[in-house]
This record gives sequence, structure tokens and C-alpha cells, in this order.
Amino acid sequence: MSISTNLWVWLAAFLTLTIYSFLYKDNIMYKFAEHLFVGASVGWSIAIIWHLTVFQYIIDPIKEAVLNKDVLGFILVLVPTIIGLMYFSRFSRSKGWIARWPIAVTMGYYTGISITPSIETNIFKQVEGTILTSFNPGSLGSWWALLLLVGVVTTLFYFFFSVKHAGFVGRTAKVGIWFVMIAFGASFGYTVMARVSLLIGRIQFLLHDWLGIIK
Amino acid sequence: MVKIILILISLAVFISSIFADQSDIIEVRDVPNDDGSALLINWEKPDYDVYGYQIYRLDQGTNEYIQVGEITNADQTEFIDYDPRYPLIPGVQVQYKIISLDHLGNELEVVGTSELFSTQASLFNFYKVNSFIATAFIFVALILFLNLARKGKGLFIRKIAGLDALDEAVGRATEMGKPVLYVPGLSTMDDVATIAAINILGPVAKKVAEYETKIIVPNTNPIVYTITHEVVKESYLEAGRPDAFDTDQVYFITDVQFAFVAAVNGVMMREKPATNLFLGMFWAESLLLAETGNITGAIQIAGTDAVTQLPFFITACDYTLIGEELYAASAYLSRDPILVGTLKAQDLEKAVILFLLLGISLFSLINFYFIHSSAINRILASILMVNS
Amino acid sequence: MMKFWLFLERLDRRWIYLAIGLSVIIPLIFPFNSPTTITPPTVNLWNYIDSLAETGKPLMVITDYAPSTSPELDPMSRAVIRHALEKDIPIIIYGGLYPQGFGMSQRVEQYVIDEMNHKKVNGDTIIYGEDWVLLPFIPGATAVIMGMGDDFHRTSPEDARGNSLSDLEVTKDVRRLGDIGLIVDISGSSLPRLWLQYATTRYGVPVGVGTTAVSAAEYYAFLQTGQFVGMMGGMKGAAEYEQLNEDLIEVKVRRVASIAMDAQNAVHIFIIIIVILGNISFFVMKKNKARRF
Repeated sequence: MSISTNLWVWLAAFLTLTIYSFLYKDNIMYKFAEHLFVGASVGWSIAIIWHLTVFQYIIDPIKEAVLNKDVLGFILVLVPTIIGLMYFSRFSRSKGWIARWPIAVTMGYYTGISITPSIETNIFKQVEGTILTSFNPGSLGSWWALLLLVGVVTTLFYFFFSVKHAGFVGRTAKVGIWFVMIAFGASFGYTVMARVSLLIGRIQFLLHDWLGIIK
Repeated sequence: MVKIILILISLAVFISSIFADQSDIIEVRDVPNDDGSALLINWEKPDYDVYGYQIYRLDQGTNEYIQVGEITNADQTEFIDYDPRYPLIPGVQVQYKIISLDHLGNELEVVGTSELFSTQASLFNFYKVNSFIATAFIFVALILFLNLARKGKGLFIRKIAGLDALDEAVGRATEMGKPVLYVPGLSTMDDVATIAAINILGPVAKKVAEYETKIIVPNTNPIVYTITHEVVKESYLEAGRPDAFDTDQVYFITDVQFAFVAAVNGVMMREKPATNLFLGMFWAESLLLAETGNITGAIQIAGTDAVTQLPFFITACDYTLIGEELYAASAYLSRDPILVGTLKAQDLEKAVILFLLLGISLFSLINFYFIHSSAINRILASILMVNS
Repeated sequence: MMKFWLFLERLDRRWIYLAIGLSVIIPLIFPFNSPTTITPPTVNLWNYIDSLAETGKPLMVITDYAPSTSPELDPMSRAVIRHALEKDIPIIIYGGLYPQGFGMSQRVEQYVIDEMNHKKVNGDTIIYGEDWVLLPFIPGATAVIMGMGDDFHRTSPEDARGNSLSDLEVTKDVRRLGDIGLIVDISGSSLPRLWLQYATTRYGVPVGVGTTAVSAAEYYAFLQTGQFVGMMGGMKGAAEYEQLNEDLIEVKVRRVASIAMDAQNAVHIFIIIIVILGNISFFVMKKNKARRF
């Protein structure tokens, strides 16, 4: 057993315990830790963005372009910077509409580059993986593939809004919602596992790094 | 004149045939369907001992060969010149020279020199033709249904089961004389889920006004707040009860996630609303809200497109609008042409996917059991061909 | 009996919190070494990474996460990096598309390097630039992936320590994303899907994933279609990878995730019991109330 002599470990342990004190009751120490966390993370992000984005991608290239009298390089940095700065017009009531321009540019750019890959990744590949190309009654894999196809088809039926859920469609959709619920159950179970893991991670920190009780 | 040209041509053919032996060894081809940044080079393995090759390139307008690659395997006689350090420019002619290497990496002799060749940038990538068809189809379907919806053509949307539950829940609040709590999610106006939540808020607020119950709408986003405030006010007016609208029943709390949750939970514990409606975009707060509501014994209806939060709502609420059902409910209630048109277009796309799934599966199975044709297999596979 | 169900229904939830806390602490102090069964998604990932040793192509490990999910994801990053270094597979460690990930990558790097150089003596130690390279944070999200796909060195001219990528053994021949053997994205968000969409679909680079248990269910859909080469899901996935490292390449280190599995199992058993009891209590009380009125 060897208790940590590192001041930062003690601070981290103190904050961990403060946050967990919420489980007993909301209290001022918890609120303190929560605000400290929000403040610290925002501050850290600003520092990172200031040094790694603003300096590295705006100020330094502009400086370099001016020193080298590189007109094209200067324009290539300046134009996107101005478009980006337009976001700040949101602070003005009368000029707020200007912010729509950078939003339009960003949306246009991302829509353009993402349509093809997302159709290929999320539709074609997924449909391809669901299609039953062969069936061998003796193999378990074939039955799983069939179950998958049934699950996808019936779930799609459930999310049809143009047809009344009655008769055949209604019954199929009902099977579909069973698949959806089982999927949610699996996801719920996984979430519980994840939350427990986070707790374990913190307790490992307290017992190993801080108190040195466990190896 | 013609004779002279013919003689010149035959002379040229003769001269080139002398050198052809060497350049035939190296074949340069353009890589199709790209932006013209790559060339494929093939050559024949020499009949003496080699341990590798060095690939040199001469660009038009320069007079020095640059090394663009090195291969340390004698059997590999193919190389793709595709290096951003030495970019190929479409239209600029290049020439390749391959030099063989010994086991120490020293240059042995020139394997061959290629003819002049230039890359070509393709305007269209034919590997992506099915993506193009799919994208075009989505756009056409969307435009078609939007126009139909705008023209007021009665596009059918089935009634969402959750909406009946919604009516019932509001009715129960009236019977008990207790307020209805409506949380329009924690996101901004950019989120489709928030828009859907606001579309549903209108008819709900109207019903509440008709029954003379109270609706409480806490907000976490200032822009969403101004809109929900207007929507509720408008609904009271429509119901003929502008006098019953209390401006303080729609309010802004804070944009800090968990502080907002704490405040809303406080409202649930103090005011004990008979009905809680959580519609819109939610994150980790979903279970905190739904659980508190459950403790107070309220009827709860949730709706979100956040897949990770749906399981929590389903377990803790009486009814949940799952994913697209939220959009459908909003289209059903608002009859907004954009929403209805989009929903119908999506339905058509789903139908096509369903058709592809079942159709290709069926044909593949028939082929698998009865026909055994690899050609049919290839055709079926190419329908969903993805560039590889 | 009725009294028991009534007691359960009225039980203050804080007792449950306490019980869960104890189910974590006790197995951590007195471990019972529960066996780790290994599942195909983890084996597939392990094998794929192992096969990179033959191709000589580098592995890119991306730590796309923040401290909030590090208990699940740190052990994965460590195990994967450890595996690659043991097999002399060149590694590019990258903090991913958001700033927090860079801090994570530095921490994981330090941990593994210390561990390895502590064990090995002098001539055998691993060397920066020859065995691994750490990339800096590069703003731009999707644009960064596209940039790396077209020209790796232009998108990230320098590593995190200010060296030019062309001077480092690991990266000097990585001209485009396509020259990388495998990308392993370790993330609790939807970023692995972004890497899949751009790196795999556009540039043909295979992607493997290490993810939190919350996201694991979502990624099974992409695993089934073969879009991800393999997956580690949650702490269990990390424990499996640690087990494979120990069994197949004899890495004997403190297995963070495996130690945690005892506690994980204990809590799961406890939760299953309270879910069952809670449901029985719910129906018994419902029946009882109905009888009374």
C-alpha cells in the first residue's frame, strides 16, 4: 500500500469524490466541481483553438504570404477567414442575417462531399450486406442471414407512413416493432455496461493511483 | 507532295520500329475514372538476375529524370505512379525509364524506356454511376412530392398511434385539473427534431387551451424559446381563449444541460403535472427527466430521433414516438407541404430499398438453387456495386 | 412475503448506489480472476493488425475520445499500440479530429513507451520516428481526412514534436492515406463512421474500431457487412485484446481492462438480480392494489 505523493492525483481524487457526493444529495461541493469542469474544458478548448487554428492556419500563413508577397496565398487564406468571421454577425440584431452566408457555405460543402460516400456506406453497403445470396438449411449462418433480412424488411414496414397499419401490413409492422424493441434492449444492456465501466475506471483510479490499495 | 509525305511517314515508321523493341517492354496506361493524377506502368522482367527496380520519370519541359519509385521485389513488374510529391499533370507528356537493381541496391542496367504518354482527367467517374442514379432519384422524388404537397394534393399519411395517446394524455390532465409539461428538446432550431417538436406543440397547446388546462413549456435555447412562446400564444388565440394565456407559462431556464434538467425536475416535483411530453432532441438527460416524471406518476409521452436515448424513453414513458414517427406526427398535425413532401419522398425511397432487398434476394436464391449462372450473379452484384 | 415486496418498492435508491459501489470495490481488492471469453470481432481486429507486420505498411491508431470515456477506451489504445510495437509494425498515433483526443494520444503514448522501454534494455528500446510517430491536432474535421487522402504530408507537414514528416522513417513513405495499412479509430462517438465514409469508401483504407459499449450495438451493423475489419466493444473488448496479446505474443503487463472485468461481472449479476426482483415486485404490488380496490 502506497498512497500517492503527487498533488495532482490528490486533486483529481478530491474532485472525483466531490462529483460522486451527488449520489447522496445535491450539494455545494458538487456544484463547485461541476462548474470547475465546465470552465476548465471551455478554457482549454479556446486555448487549443487559438494556438492550433487561429495562429497556425490564419495568422502565420497571412504573415508568410505578406513577407513573400504571395498574392494568391494571401487571398486563399483571407477569403475563408472573412467568410468564417461572418458568423460573428449573430451578435447584432440588424446584421444577424449575414451569418446565413457562412452557414450556407458550410452546409453546401458538407452536403456536396458527403452525399456520395454516405449513400455508398450507409445504403448500398448495408443493403448489400442484408441481401440473401444463398441459403443452406444446414448452416446456422444462413438462418442468421435470413433473420436479418426479415428484421430489416419488417422494420421498414413499420416506418411506412403512406399505408395504413391494417391487415398484412399491420401484422408485418408488428413483427418489425419487435425487432426494434429487441435492438433497443441490446443497446440498453450495452449502455448499462458502459456506465458501470466508467464507475470502475474511477474506482480503479482511487484505489490504484491514489490510495495504492490494489495493484 | 503526297509522295514526300508518304516517304516521310514510312521513314518515321521505320525509325520508330528500330526503337520500338525497347519501348514495347514498358507499357504505360492511364488509370481510368480519376482526376488524372495516376499512371499505371507495366514492364517485362529481364532475363538476368535482378533484385528490384527503380522507376524514373521525365516530364515534358524538364531535362532531368526524377526517381518516382523503387521496388525491392523482382517479380513485381507493375507500378502506379501516384505520388503527391511528384504530381502528374493532365496533358503534360511524360516518359518512364526502368532501371534494374542488384542485391545491394546498385543500379544494373536500363530495362527500358517508355513512349511519351500523358494522363487524362476523367469528367465522370463511372464507378460511381449507381450513386449518381440514387442521388438523382432522391432529388427527383423530393421535388415531385414537394410540388404535389404544395398544390394541395391530398397526400395520405397514416395516423400515428402515438397521437391518440397524446389526445388521451391531454384529456387526463384536464380531468385532474393539473398542468401539462411540454419540453421541446434541448437542441437548437437547426435540428429537425426541434422543428417537429414545435409543430406538435401548436395543436397540443390548442387542445390545452380548449380544455382550459395549463401548459408549461421550459426552454433551454433562447431562439427556440421565442418561437415556442409565439406558438403557444397563437394556439390560445386560435382556440378563442387569448385571455387564458399566461406569458410566464413559456419560459427560458438556462442553456446548461444538467442545470436545465435540475430545474425541470424541480417543476415536476412541485407542480406535479398530470402529463409530461418530451419531444425533440435529447441527450444524456433523457432518463433523468423521464424517471423523475415516472416518480410523480404523470402520463409520459416522448419522441426523439436520438437512437441512443430511445431505449430510456421506451422504458420510462407510457408512449414513445420512435425516430421518424416524430417527423411523421409533426407532418400529420401541421400538414406543412415541406414536411409532408419529404416524408412521402422518404417513403418512396424506403419502398425502393425494400424492393431491392427482396428482389435481389429472390433472384439470387433462384439462381443459387436452379440456374447456377455466374453471369446473373455478377449482374445482381453490380446493381449495388460500390467502388473498390 | 408481502412485507418484503413492500420494502423493495419503498427502498431508497441510495442503498442501491451503495451496493453497486461495493460490488465494484470488493472484486477489485479481492479479484476472483474470471475467465475472458474471446469473441470474433476482437480476434478479427487482432489478426488484421498482426498481418500488417508482413506488409510493412504502418498502422494508424486514432484516439478520438475525451477523458469522460477514457476508462473504457484507454486500455484499448494501450493494447493496440503495444501489440503493434511488439511486432515491429510502424505506428502513427493520432489524436483524431477534435482537440481533446490529442491529450489522450499523448497520455497513451507516454504510458506504452515507458512500459516498453522499461522492460527492454538499451539497444532494444523503441525509438521515436523509427517505431512510432505522434501527429498533432489538425483542425478541419472531415476536411482533414480528405486532405490526408490526397496528400498526407501537406495536411500534416510536421509531427507533434515539430519534425518534418518526410524526415521520419515511419511517415516518409506515407504519401496518401492509401499508404496506411489500417486505421483503428478508438472513439465513443460517431466518428468511426466518418472514417469509414471517407477513408474506406473514398480512399480504400480499411478501418477497425474500438468503441464504448454504448456505441457497440450501432457498429455491429457495419461489422456484419464487413465494412469494419474488426471491433473492440467496451471494456470487455479491451480485456479480450489484452488476453490475445498475452496468449499469442506473450505481453505480460498490468491488464487494466481484464482486472476490471471481475467488478464488471459482479455489478452485472447484481443488476440482473435487482431487475428481476424489481419486476416481480412491480407485478405483485399491481395485483395487490387491484385486489384491494
